[in-house]
Amino acid sequence: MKKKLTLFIVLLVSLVLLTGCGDKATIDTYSDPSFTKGSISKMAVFPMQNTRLAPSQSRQVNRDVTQGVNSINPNIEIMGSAKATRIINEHGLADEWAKFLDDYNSSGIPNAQLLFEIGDALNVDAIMQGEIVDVYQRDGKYGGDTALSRVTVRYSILSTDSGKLLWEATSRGSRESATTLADAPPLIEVIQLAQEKILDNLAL
Amino acid sequence: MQLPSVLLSLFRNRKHLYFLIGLIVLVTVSIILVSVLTIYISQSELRAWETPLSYFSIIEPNLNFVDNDYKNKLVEDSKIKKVIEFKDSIISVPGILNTEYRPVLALENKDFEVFMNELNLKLISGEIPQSDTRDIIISENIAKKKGLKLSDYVGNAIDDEEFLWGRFRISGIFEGELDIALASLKYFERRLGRESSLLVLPENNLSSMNNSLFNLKNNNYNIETKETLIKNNNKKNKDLLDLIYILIAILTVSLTIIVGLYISLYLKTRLREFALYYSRGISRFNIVKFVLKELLLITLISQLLGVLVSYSILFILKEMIFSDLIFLAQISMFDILLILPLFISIILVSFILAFKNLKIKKLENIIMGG
Amino acid sequence: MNKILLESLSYKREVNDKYIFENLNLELKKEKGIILVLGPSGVGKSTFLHLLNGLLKADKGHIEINGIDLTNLDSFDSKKFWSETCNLMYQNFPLINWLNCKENLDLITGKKNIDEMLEKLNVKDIYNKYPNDISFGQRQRIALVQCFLMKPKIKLLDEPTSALGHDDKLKVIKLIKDITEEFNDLFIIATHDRDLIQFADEVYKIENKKLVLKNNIN
Repeated sequence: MKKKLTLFIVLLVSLVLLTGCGDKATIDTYSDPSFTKGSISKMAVFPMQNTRLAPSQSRQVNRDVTQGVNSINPNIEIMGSAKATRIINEHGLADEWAKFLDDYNSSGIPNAQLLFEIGDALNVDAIMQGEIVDVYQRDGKYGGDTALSRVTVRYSILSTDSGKLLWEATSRGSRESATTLADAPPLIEVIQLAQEKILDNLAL
Repeated sequence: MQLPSVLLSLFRNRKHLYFLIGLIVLVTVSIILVSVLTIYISQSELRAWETPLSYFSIIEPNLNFVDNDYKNKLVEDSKIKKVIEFKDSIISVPGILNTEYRPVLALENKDFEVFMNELNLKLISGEIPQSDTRDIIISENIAKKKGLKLSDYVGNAIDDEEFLWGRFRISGIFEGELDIALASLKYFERRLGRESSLLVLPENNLSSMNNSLFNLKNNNYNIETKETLIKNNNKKNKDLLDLIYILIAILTVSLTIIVGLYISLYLKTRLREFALYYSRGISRFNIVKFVLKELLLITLISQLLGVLVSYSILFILKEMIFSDLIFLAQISMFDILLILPLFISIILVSFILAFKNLKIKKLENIIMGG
Repeated sequence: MNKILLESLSYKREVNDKYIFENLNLELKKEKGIILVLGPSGVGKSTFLHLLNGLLKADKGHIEINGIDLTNLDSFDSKKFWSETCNLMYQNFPLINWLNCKENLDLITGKKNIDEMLEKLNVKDIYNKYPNDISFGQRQRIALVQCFLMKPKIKLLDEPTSALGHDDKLKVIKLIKDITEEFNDLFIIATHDRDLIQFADEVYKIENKKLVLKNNIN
């Protein structure tokens, strides 16, 4: 009897342990020569796009970024996404911002004029914008694949002085379950994985 | 027999003299214009700061902060009307060789009114910069020369040729005697750091205030007045001036040699004429005097012509070629005096060559059948 | 009355150390007229004029012209002599080529009105031209007029007709004759041109390093 219990506990523990296995996060960064320490004194962080998360989870992700940047360089004044969105709306620039993101995502070239207007309205030196580029999730199938969640997160920092891209990082985070019994790991977890990797590589 | 008129001789022989006159004019013009333009370019700092420093003086701290004790002493001084904290930058204005700029002063929002009143600057459109924003107000002249209007952007972040850092937005334009721009001190401090300087406005008289400032002198601060500006500019340009002198010396010597050769040749062609005078009983001394009068006149006329041409070229440059730019160069007495060595050396060479080429033996030989 | 006195005059050329004149004695007393000094080229005609004029200094002997001692180096003032006593018109006599003929003459006369005189001397038609625009013969005539317009009464001419054609030669010698007649000048002409003999009052020849009177009137 005791032997069976111990074995079950060991199995359970190892199972629990093993579900945390299979974390991966890659990183790819671009940095403009003008992006130097101290060149930014005030930055707005915009809500992440395409999160496919519930509002509370989205807010969590945005807070994580804000806190992450703050811990990298406490001297930079961060304007959180809530405040940034509010000011954008107050100035009636919400449509402009949406158009800007569309333009930027399709052409890769930021619209300087819009950035200037928004930068002046917010009175910030730079804007940090993140987005989910793609998502892949699969549940585990008994006798087949393990459960897997994979997401590509990209963050851009745009200068409101020059209207150019200052810094960009893309990270693909993935989490695979150890067994084939589990469901796909939660999306927010892989997003956070990728986001952490990006913040690790941000020299601000 | 009389000697003919020197003026008539110059006029009738002018074909032989065009080259000589042209050469002297060319070198004279070169000397004057090289001096004028080099000195002009080296004085861009003066042009930016001279007028502002006629209204106020600046105190720069050597440490990274302004000691309150010192600041209080200044505020209490009877000769000082107001002490204003500021940071500065520069904004480029169109000038030759992209060297022209004007000061940009970043002030605290509360100091704008006092400053603008004291310096007779009146806002004619827009409004003063809001605190901690990219707003900037510029003088009417700067707006006109740069082609800027309200809500335009200006800065190095969007224009490589611009001296002013970052990006600013024209929030207002003012009129007044000063060609400057004003921005928010808070914004400057946020982007550039906290070290600021002090701007002191005089109660009555700028020079008595400056004397007071020097009396309150403290090794932790640099006092910058119009006089120190001019002195430092002269010091910086000493090397440049030496270079100019060397260049002019080279030009002078080269031209004198060429002129000397030409005069030698010219005298040789007229030797028969001089022998004629000699055979008629005119003394060698008088013949030499006649020749020297001619050469003196040629040199004088050429150099005067050179000065005239210099003025004309400068005028054309100012009014036609560079009319859109700020180009304030002028010919000063100093520049004109630089052509004096050329005059003296040509006259000296003329003396030597006249006496050398008009030897009695030579003249007698011609008479006797040379 | 002009008085030219040469006593024991000796002169040798520096080049070959040969005496051109040795122990030359000559006395000329004449108020006006034409005296010819004949001889082939190289014999020393020009040298004789240069000695008379004071351009060359005699090695030995004494020259006195109208009371002025040419051989006393301390007292001899060549400028004064040339402008007042004796004038030399040398070969290929130059005019100032940037002045026209009138202006060339004006330098001597001080712009006095000499139209009538010039008409008489047959040079009025080239008066306003430049020396380079007239013929050699015409130039010689203007130069002659210049020479005679000068103050000295004794005028030495070195080969005045050497490069002239026959017609020009006659014109020139006639001009000289007219001047002596009208204005009382004494011309001493060094030449090898025998055509001039008929116009001369006295003719000398350089022989054996001396001057020999050949004819009084030929």
